[in-house]
Amino acid sequence: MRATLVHRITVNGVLREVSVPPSTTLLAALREQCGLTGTKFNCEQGECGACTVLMDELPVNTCLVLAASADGHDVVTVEGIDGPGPSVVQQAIMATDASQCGYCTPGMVVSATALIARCPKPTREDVDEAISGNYCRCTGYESIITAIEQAAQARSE
Amino acid sequence: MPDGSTEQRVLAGPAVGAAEFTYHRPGSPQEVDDLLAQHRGVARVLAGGTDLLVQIRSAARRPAHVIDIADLSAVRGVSFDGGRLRVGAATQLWEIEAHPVVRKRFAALREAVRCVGSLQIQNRATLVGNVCNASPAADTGPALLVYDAQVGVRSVRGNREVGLAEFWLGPGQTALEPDEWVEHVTLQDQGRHGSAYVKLGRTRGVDLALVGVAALARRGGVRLACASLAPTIRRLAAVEDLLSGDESPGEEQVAEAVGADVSPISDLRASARYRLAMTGVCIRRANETAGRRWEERNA
Repeated sequence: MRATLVHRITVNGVLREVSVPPSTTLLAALREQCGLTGTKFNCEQGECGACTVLMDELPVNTCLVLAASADGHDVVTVEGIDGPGPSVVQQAIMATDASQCGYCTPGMVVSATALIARCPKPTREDVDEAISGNYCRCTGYESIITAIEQAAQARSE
Repeated sequence: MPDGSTEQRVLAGPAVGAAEFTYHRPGSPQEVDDLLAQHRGVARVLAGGTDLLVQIRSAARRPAHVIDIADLSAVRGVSFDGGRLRVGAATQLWEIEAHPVVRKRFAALREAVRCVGSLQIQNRATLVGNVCNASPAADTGPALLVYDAQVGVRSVRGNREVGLAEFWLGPGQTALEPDEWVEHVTLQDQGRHGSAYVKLGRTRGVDLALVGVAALARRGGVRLACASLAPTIRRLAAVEDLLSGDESPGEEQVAEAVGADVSPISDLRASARYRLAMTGVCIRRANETAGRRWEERNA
């Protein structure tokens, strides 16, 4: 039995219809149905944060959200942050070379964006906490933290 | 399916499990009762999904029906009335952390909530889901016990309140009958008191507790409860008696009482011996912080 459900999800400001089997994750729906591959597939158990998006403005792991549960909700992926061009956080990441293999970068961008939105002048501790659910296996945390601090500063100036 | 999707499906891990389930999104608590009665034993309630979807993926659970209550507004939110804090089943951890009454009167709960997984997890996971998952390592468990938590259980057959200590039967096992679900959890306000939760993990970031201790200090003595030290989260009765006495006990006495209260295991995170040794340290830290907060409240 592979019943298909149709869900209406607002993705990056656009109402999308996705039809998927019930056990489909929001991660798979975004990547395969919406073609938004910036959201990365990795641990599948909510440990690594590579699949982080904003759901109703809060960072969540899309590997642990059913596409069905996102029906009627507002989702922003890395592609949709601050419109089409690079966001303040993305610019800071480029400026500080804070991306090595790059796999964690989209999740980091989403978590950092949520932090700066709710806390415009974050302390180092705030930054640490905000990305504590985002693993960088290149272990390039220092430059990522610097980038987020610079982005917050740029945004508040 | 668009062309070329087969390969992508493999890469993107499309589903949470090989077995499909029927998805329900009920519009009222009564509808949840009915669905659970109708699909007795083969349905599972999904609140945040941060445990359930992992369990379905690893085939630890294979529900034929998933009942999603995340958007069920009737069971969402935190309220404080008549000295009891009530947390609805669909209330996510971030909402509890941000609630002004929780910040003021339930410090240990707030600290425990902040220890659960990452922010991403706290933005989806629920307190009631944490309770129903019955993990011996659940960070919120010790705080709930020192605040005399009660579990509000319901089904088509009616409602009942179960004390949290009686609700947990073993790792992953609860007193819920197959047609029952938890509508809310309530905590008792403790008047003038101080409380704290201390977690020891391998890292300061996301990890399960090697040892977790909640302490609550007030007139009449101290309450303690621990995670990761027994098949269920539990109060530390012998240590409570010892620390509530007139004389402050020595470290050896505390260690002896701890040994009477808990039965830690060795696993990939730590040995039983290490857990036992660190329990005394966590108790001291939690107790000191709780005591200091109580004094500040009295000052």
